[in-house]
Amino acid sequence: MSSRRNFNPWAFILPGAIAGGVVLGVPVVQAFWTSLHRLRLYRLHDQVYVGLDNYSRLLQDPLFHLSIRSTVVFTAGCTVLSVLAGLMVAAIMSTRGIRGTAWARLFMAFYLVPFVATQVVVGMLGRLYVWEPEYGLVNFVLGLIAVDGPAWLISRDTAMLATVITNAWRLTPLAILIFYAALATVPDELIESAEVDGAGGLRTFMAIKLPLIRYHIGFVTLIQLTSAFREFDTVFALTGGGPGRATNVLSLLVYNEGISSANLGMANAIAFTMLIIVGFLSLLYMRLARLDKVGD
Amino acid sequence: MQRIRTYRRLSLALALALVVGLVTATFAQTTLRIAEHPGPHVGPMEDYFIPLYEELTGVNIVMEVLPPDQLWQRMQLEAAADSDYYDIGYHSPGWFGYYHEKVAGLDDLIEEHGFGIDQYSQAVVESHMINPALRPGEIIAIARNPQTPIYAYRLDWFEHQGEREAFQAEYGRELAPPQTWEELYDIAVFFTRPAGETVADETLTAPLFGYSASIIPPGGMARAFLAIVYSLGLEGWDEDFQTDLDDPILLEGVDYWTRLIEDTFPPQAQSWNFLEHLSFMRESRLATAELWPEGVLTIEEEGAPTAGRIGYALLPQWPGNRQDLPVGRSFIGGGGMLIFDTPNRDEAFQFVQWLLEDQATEFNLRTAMFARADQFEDPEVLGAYDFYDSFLPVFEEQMSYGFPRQPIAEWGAVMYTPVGEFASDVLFDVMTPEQAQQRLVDNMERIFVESGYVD
Amino acid sequence: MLAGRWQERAGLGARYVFLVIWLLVSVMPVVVLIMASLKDTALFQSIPQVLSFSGFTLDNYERSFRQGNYLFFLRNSMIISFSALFVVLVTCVPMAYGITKLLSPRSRGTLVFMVLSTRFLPYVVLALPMYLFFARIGLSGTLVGVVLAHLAMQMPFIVWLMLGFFAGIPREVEEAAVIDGCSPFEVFWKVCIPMVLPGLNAAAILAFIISYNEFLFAFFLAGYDAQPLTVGITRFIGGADVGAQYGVIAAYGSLIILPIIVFALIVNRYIVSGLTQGAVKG
Repeated sequence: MSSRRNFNPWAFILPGAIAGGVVLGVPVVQAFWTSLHRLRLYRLHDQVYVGLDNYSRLLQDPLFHLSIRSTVVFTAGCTVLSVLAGLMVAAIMSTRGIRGTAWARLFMAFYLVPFVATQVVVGMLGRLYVWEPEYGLVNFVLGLIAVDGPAWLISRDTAMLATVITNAWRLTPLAILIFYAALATVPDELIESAEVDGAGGLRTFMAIKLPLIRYHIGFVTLIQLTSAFREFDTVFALTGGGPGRATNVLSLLVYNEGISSANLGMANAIAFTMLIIVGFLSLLYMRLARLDKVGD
Repeated sequence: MQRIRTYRRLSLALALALVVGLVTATFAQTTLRIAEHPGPHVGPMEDYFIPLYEELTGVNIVMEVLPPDQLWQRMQLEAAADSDYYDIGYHSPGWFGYYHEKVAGLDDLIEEHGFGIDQYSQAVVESHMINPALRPGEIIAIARNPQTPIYAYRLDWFEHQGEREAFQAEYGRELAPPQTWEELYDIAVFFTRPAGETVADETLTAPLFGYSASIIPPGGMARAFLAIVYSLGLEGWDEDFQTDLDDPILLEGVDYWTRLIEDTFPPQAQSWNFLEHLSFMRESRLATAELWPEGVLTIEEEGAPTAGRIGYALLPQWPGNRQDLPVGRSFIGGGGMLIFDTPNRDEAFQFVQWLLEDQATEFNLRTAMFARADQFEDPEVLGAYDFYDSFLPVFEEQMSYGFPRQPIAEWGAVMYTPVGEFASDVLFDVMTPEQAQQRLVDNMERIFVESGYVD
Repeated sequence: MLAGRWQERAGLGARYVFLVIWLLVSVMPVVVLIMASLKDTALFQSIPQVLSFSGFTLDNYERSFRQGNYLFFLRNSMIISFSALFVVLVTCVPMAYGITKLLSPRSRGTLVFMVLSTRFLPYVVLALPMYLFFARIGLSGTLVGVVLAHLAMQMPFIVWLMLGFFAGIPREVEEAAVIDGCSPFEVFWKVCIPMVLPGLNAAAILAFIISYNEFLFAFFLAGYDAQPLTVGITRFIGGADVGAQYGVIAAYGSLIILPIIVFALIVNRYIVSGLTQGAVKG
């Protein structure tokens, strides 16, 4: 027992903590510092302190409000869609007769494809082969059932929907996986007794299984929420923020402001605002869901 | 214990991979390093010119082709770090300000090696080879493919009897290349037809569109819409840095542009990058188009379905434009090659001279890029393609109207990006045209104050 | 009774139909991409044309290898992914272990919270300042920048994953090792690591996949010598080579996506167990 007392867990923690502090802390501080300055990409040596000027201009900018709205729609859409789809697939996967079979394992392997697919390629694939209005996969399938599909990514009304679906497609496998595993922990006796009572499949699911995996639903929701909130690669390759500003989510706004408009001070102000928003939300959520008690 | 061994083996493999990777990365040795823009010159340079030069001189050349955004970003970073990483860079006048301090002046090299600087027209020198604001009195680049957009149309359809009669009946004038932007609109509307209708007696299996450019926002939109802005006789600002973008004529221009896009462009154009619409024209889906000359081989390449069926014309006039221009115009784009101030400066220049002067004919034959007087006069060049007879005179004349961009570092931040956003925001009703114009003007004025050009 | 069984069969059949449809949703886009990459370079082909088993050509692949420098970018992708993996495992695994061994639940909770909350950092927030920072210290465009960025990106995920696995080790096992005279490091290396090996495999595989697919940091921070495949492909987007090279884009995309999908299918057992154990136990 004596060596237990000599054991100092910080020896294991510190290298990682220091590395993390440097690679995460330095950029965050730098972002904040730059956001208080006027700094142009074409004049990197000329940094002028402007206080909160960038922030006050940002808050008055209608395009920033628009981006916030797009981000909310995009994040909420991706989260809801991927959680619902994940629940549905996992529920069916874990019904008796399918759960645990070789088929289930095979399906699960291929369900992972969107999860591991490179986002940039997914974005391009979406633009050229899936959502393309005349030749794309989606409108081809809609054509089979005699529906004349819209122009998707290039129409203001549908671009966001298509972008959300593409990203949700990518996020869903994680939800399926976690829900499937969680549902496997629900004791069979519970279900059997319910079925003896005459409850149907859907009712059993809603009444018995769903409450038992509510922690996992919360957890997956949080993961998807944050992934979607900061998504850049897929949207960048899929729509570049367009048409117009229809899918110009905050992460793209930062990029456009910083690179296309060469305004690094403003770009960092937006980035730091994002950090504040997401920090506040996740703090709230983690306290509510008590996710910080992991590992106790 | 088996597991421990597995883990050890795994970490050993990882460490090995790390070391091997770092070592290979370090030993990638080079002599001359070029930062290049994508384009029709890339294939010929990779497959022909660079291997040939390496064989002739023993100089090792590495060409890095980067997407436009990343290209100037990288050149700027390397310049800021003063790294001597690139020896040669692609010169796009609009972005020169991002790395101008690291660019070598070429006057002494030009004299020493006897480079034929007189081969370049005044407009080309002005737009692509000097920069009086940032590098006064120096030659800073060699032009390679200076260009400005022209109008391309389906000659065979314009000459078709049935189409001519139908057009005459509907518009009361002959079907011919447009003299004004409004005529361009009419022609584009005339040719915009759904699948099932005919064009030149052939039944369309897919919808046909009247006119297009590649207008992905903000860059593509900017590039295309600037043809309207400059045709309006606007220039962005004058020598006192007073903007002319507050002129109400800009609202007429953007209203026209919105109509043109909504009524005649293929919807996909909004997601197309530079020159992608020409592939659509090649498939006979497009009747007329904006043509940046470096894309001409897409529609005229041997074996292309449209080869020999394209007519060329100047951009049309905007009646009432602020400078009484007789035709339309855009900025002079395209690029050249610049030399960075590195120890390899002399060798880098020799390569550029070899490529663009000694090999001027061969380079042109393989890329259809024109810059020098001797290329425009060389019978071998002129005989290379039949379409040059109709294409080159238009190309040259349009160049004489092309607008050389003001040589300031802020061009991209005050003109290119915000003008593209302006057109895009109006097209998609993000804000009213008046609000968008105000935003454009405010941005320009703020940056000019920031930069100290005005008080 | 018989009717009931028949009904059950039909229900099972319907559920399988749904799962097959979902399978198609998951893989069809990739199938279309691969088929398109084997066809002539022009885009304008309908889905039945793309999916037909005729007119195959390897031209697009040939151009991807030659013009697109595929092997060069693949090498960079591998260097980045393996280096990042190495750095991530070396720092994050001991860190996760150390955190589970903290005695006070309060400091443990705080630390877990701090690590987890960095998961919510939008990557753009990190990428821009890193770009500025490296530009200022003259480290622009090197591998170091990208690998450090990947460490920042992966740390919360890997720590969180490993936390779940280490927490599952019964205390008695470690105490027995201590009684046998093992030093704290030996307990970690010889006792705990072997016990969490399946989880460690899963974490390593996922970290590798995430690094391989990453675009934003590489785009901002990698010089040409260090650029991975995800950046390499952008050369064909909006490039002005003769005609838009959709076929080459498809081929290049396939060459990026296929290795990682095949890899994932081979090791999918680890991915499944890794992700599910971590989440379900937590």
